[in-house]
Amino acid sequence: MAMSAGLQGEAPSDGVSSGTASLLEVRHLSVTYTRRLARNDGQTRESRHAVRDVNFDVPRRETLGLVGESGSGKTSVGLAILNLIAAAGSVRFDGQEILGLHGATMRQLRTRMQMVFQDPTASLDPRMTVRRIVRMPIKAHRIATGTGIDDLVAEVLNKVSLDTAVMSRYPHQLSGGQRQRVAIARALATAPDFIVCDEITSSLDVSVQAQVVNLLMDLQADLGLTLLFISHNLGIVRQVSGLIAVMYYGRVVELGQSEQIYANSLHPYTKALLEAVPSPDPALETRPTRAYLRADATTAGLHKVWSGGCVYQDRCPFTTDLCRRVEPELGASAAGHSVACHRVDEIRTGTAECTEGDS
Amino acid sequence: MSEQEKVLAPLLEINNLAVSFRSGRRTVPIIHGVSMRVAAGERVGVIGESGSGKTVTALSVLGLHDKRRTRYGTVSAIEFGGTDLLRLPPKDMRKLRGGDIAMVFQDPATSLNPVFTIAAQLLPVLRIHQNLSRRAAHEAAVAALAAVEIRDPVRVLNSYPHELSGGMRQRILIAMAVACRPRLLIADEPTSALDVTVQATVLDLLSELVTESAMSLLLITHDMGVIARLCSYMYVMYAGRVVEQGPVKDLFQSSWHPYTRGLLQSTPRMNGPRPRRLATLTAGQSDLQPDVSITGCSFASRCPYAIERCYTEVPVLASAHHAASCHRWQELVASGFAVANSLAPTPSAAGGQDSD
Ligand SMILES: Nc1ncnc2c1ncn2[C@@H]1O[C@H](COP(=O)(O)OP(=O)(O)OP(=O)(O)O)[C@@H](O)[C@H]1O
Ligand SMILES: Nc1ncnc2c1ncn2[C@@H]1O[C@H](COP(=O)(O)OP(=O)(O)OP(=O)(O)O)[C@@H](O)[C@H]1O
Ligand code: SF4
Ligand SMILES: [Mg+2]
Ligand SMILES: [Mg+2]
Repeated sequence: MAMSAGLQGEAPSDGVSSGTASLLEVRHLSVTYTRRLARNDGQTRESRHAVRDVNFDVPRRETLGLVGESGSGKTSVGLAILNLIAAAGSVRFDGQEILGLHGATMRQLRTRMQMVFQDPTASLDPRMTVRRIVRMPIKAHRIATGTGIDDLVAEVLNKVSLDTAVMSRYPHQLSGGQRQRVAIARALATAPDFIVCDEITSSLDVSVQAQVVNLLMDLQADLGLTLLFISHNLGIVRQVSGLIAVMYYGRVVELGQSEQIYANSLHPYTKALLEAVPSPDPALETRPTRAYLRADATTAGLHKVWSGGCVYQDRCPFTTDLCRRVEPELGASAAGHSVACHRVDEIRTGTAECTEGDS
Repeated sequence: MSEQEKVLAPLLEINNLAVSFRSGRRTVPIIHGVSMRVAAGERVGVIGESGSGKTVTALSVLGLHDKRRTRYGTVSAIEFGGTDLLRLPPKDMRKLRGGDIAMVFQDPATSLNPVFTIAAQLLPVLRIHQNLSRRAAHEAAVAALAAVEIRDPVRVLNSYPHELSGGMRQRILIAMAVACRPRLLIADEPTSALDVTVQATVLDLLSELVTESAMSLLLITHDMGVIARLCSYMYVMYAGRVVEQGPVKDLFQSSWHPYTRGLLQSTPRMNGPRPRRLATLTAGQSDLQPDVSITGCSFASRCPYAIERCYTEVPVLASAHHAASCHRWQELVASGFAVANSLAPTPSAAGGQDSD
């Protein structure tokens, strides 16, 4: 697999493109949330894997699009990479291991790594004006001084096409899309070289979406930005990302060059995802048969918690006994990109038949 | 006026809504005379520029603006089943909210209380509105969450909002809003945080509910695809005004306003060649109160077809079934939007009166 992308597996030493090429190397990343439950019979602890053994690289100046089921762990991956929540495994940023890093070294790295969060209302302090919100990181990291600060504030607001008149407003006095752009402006203020963008366009209308996407691509070209772009919008992801990772229930199930995956997706979940995109043309919206999006199968597995086997087994039209027993590993497919599915070859050649069980 | 099309009496009728907010000594006009109708059982979509006033319009229906800072136009009225909501006493308004009218808010973070579990917030809603025992309410809650595709509903019921993903919070709000079977559901970007497979389910669910219980739907979204799937009629907003309205099919087949056209064109495609850049609606500051002091069309400074007249005369929206507020729409549609223009995009009008 001469893929710049994707999985270099365990041994970075034999990978041609590892080390210098990738700004970010994620290995065996797992996130577990533990909560205390009050029960009649005393307290118990409940642990849940939100992310399980996730591996990928993001080469310098490239964008990895992270798509997947809602609740599959995308935000958790983003938070873990920036060392904002506890995680197991390894995350190397520019060659340096950052999981478990703290104090001054981490603070220094923070100017280089930023995150724009999914929910702008929750991440913007309601008592601060837009001016103060954007000034904060500029002052904290001494990016500019004196009148230079306000100039920079105006400059970054301008970059996200916000009029400087918003500077004196509070977050609740802005529309949803305007708030999100303030959050993006704040992230841009420290001139980072890596940004995790978590659903930054979902609250924007398509024209502003297009502006923000073009802006990101410009910034990427000008500043050499590397991006992890989390989004539900497959059209947008296709536009911005050269590489794509598809997540389902805490696992990466398909990974590779985005052109290849859009043209030739192989995992049944990715196929369902691509099938389900509502078309912006009502003439096409006549509901053709959705082979992969089985309405009857969708709620079937919801009450269960994963307990081995393929994470997609309850919604998959191709599940066999093997799928229920053994979890498929993410591995190279004959199409060139990586897929975690036992029946990938049959699916690729179109010989996979829907099943009730295997023989 | 509209003829045979709207036979059903409107359940919600927004008439000439004007809203301005006082900030300090200034009063900033935000909505400049918006009219919309939603018939019983009808599904109406609202799409538009970020900052164009979609949420402000919706919040006006529910009387959720800060009274001291908000001014409504003197001729504005919002009628719901015969009552004027703008002049309704707060007490009656509260009764209506969460009863006959429910809303799913754009920002899930602000609508769930962070210090209570989901069960503590969802069960009372079910018990009050469906008159259920604790036990039955718990079962109904599990079913309601499963209906919006929430995996492991029992765990989720015992979770606090921060322990859930963004999309899960949004689905819980949808479940809560529909649990009490409102006559009108206002949903502000209800599915934008969801992956498309879940979105498909949630849209199907909404669609079912609308059909089954004759619920009306006013759906605000940025996604043309969502409107195409769910709505029969739509409004397009720009800078505090409705710039185009019509049946969804007609609008998609032939949009009349240059802004609507721009919207349809900047939607990224799932197939075909990938453009180097996405089409945007020309340069210029995208929003924030396009100068209200200009006397003309508020889209003029960004419109590729603007002519002299566009800067001097406000285009009006006819109250027809399909209508656009653009001076040149007929000419543009006739030419397939290929007419020689124009003055734009700079507002400084210099020459050009090429229409006649
Ligand atoms: N603080 C927390 N405590 C306990 N569980 C959590 C916490 N945060 C997230 N989770 C759980 O982890 C899982 C993954 O959540 P995450 O927010 O990473 O999903 P996501 O892929 O970003 O989803 P969405 O697209 O809906 O935002 C979910 O099941 C969620 O309930
Ligand atoms: N409480 C407020 N005080 C002052 N201005 C406000 C207030 N709420 C909203 N605005 C302004 O009113 C305009 C319309 O806002 P609104 O939230 O209705 O936009 P929207 O169409 O919902 O946009 P989006 O798609 O981004 O959510 C915006 O310019 C916004 O900044
Ligand atoms: S491994 Fe089996 S269950 Fe999982 S996606 Fe492939 S065919 Fe479906
Ligand atoms: Mg998330
Ligand atoms: Mg809004």
